[in-house]
Amino acid sequence: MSHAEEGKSAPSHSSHSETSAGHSGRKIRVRVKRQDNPNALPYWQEFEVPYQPGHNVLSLLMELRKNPVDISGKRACPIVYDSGCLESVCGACSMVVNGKARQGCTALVDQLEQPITLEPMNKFPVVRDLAVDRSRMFENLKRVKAWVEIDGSHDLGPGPRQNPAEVRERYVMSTCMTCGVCLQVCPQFAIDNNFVGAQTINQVRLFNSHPTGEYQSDERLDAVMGNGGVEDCGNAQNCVKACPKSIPLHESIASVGRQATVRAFKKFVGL
Amino acid sequence: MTATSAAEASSGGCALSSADKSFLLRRLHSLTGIVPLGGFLLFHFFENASARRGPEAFNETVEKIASMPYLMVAEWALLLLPLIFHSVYGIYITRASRPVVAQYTHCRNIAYILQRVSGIVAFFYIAYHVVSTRFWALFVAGREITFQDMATKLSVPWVFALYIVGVLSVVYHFSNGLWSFSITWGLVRSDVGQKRLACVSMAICAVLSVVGIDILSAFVFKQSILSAFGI
Repeated sequence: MSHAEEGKSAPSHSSHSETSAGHSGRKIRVRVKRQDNPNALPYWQEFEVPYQPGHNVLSLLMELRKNPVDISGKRACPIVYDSGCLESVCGACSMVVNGKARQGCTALVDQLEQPITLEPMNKFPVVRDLAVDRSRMFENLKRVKAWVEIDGSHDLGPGPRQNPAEVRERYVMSTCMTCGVCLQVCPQFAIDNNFVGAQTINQVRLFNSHPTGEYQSDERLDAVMGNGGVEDCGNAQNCVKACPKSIPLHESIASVGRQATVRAFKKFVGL
Repeated sequence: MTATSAAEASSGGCALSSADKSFLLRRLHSLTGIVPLGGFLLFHFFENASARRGPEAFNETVEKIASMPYLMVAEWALLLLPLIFHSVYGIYITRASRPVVAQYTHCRNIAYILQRVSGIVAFFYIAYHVVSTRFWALFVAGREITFQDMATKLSVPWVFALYIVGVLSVVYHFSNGLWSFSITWGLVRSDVGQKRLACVSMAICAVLSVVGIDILSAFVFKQSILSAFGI
């Protein structure tokens, strides 16, 4: 969902930002890589925003929308970006901040070197400015059946009892918000190849370790044992370093690798 | 690339089909790196270490290996074929790699890049090495290679330098390959296990590097470097 849309009239200045600018006179300098449409060439634009304590990149972008004028004084189109929860749960505001892929909402301006550079993630097709099309991840989730099949025409009864220790282990994996950061930093994942990446592989592990979800584990494994599956991982482990939810993605990849080994062996001997 | 083709790649390109052979080829690539190629590397170091005991000992080892039964079949089917597959497929899959260096300088990412660089260096080195020794012996000289042949070759400084770079690349590629092999096949899963294995693989890399250079030195100097220290 794009929060800043073309043609939307924005107030030139809010009284709040005027007063705080008057207080300090400090400015936050930000460079944004812009792209008008999926086929247009990208270009850079530089802006200045009056300093306010506690800004994050998203609140900075919101501030910019109020008065989108670049440093040369030229009126610019409001910057388009995705955002949702504003608290690092939805994953929508993933972008490249000062060269690192992360969420805009957790990128605190006071901790960033200026000028702050904002770029869209380049491993996904750009929709406009900082907004990218992340649907590849959702397609992959569908392919690996990243869900627990509980629907039936009759009451299926309660699920099996679960070991609390295993539930805790799975909880971490389930915190994935499909933000795409692990894929943006992956040297094996590219816009023009078909590697599924850590995000999908982690979901395979999550649902294969679920007592009801494991009924579909063979189908999930067959899906990630195809072209662009788990084998395309190169073990650079940038994913686990960059994951904003600290999911042990390298363990998930090794775990799915082990399941694939067993599955391949069983298929080979006809089990 | 245009965004339309990118959108196509992102929506239609992720064809995960179980009928695909890439899983099998990848696993075969991973396996051949350890068996037989890694195994042969260790054997090769072991046999060549006889050079430390002088020309006679080395030549004797060469003769002994040359008289091994089924040698021709073993060399072509168990060494050359896996070697060609491992290197050609390795280079093929490396083409898809887009290393991210600047922002991620942690050791696993560096190891990932080095694995690919060392693989390519090793490919050219091994090609040169096999042609100039084994193929030379088989098709040009018509006799087994001797200590003196190797000593003459290695006395040329750039050849010696090439051998050192080549041996170090092969050793690193094998040692780090042990680590990624274990993860690919799922032998090691946990974070702690992966970290410990990384330490072990780098220790193996260090030991084999020293042994490799020591063996090379045995051909060039009167005594190998380590034996000069009584090791």
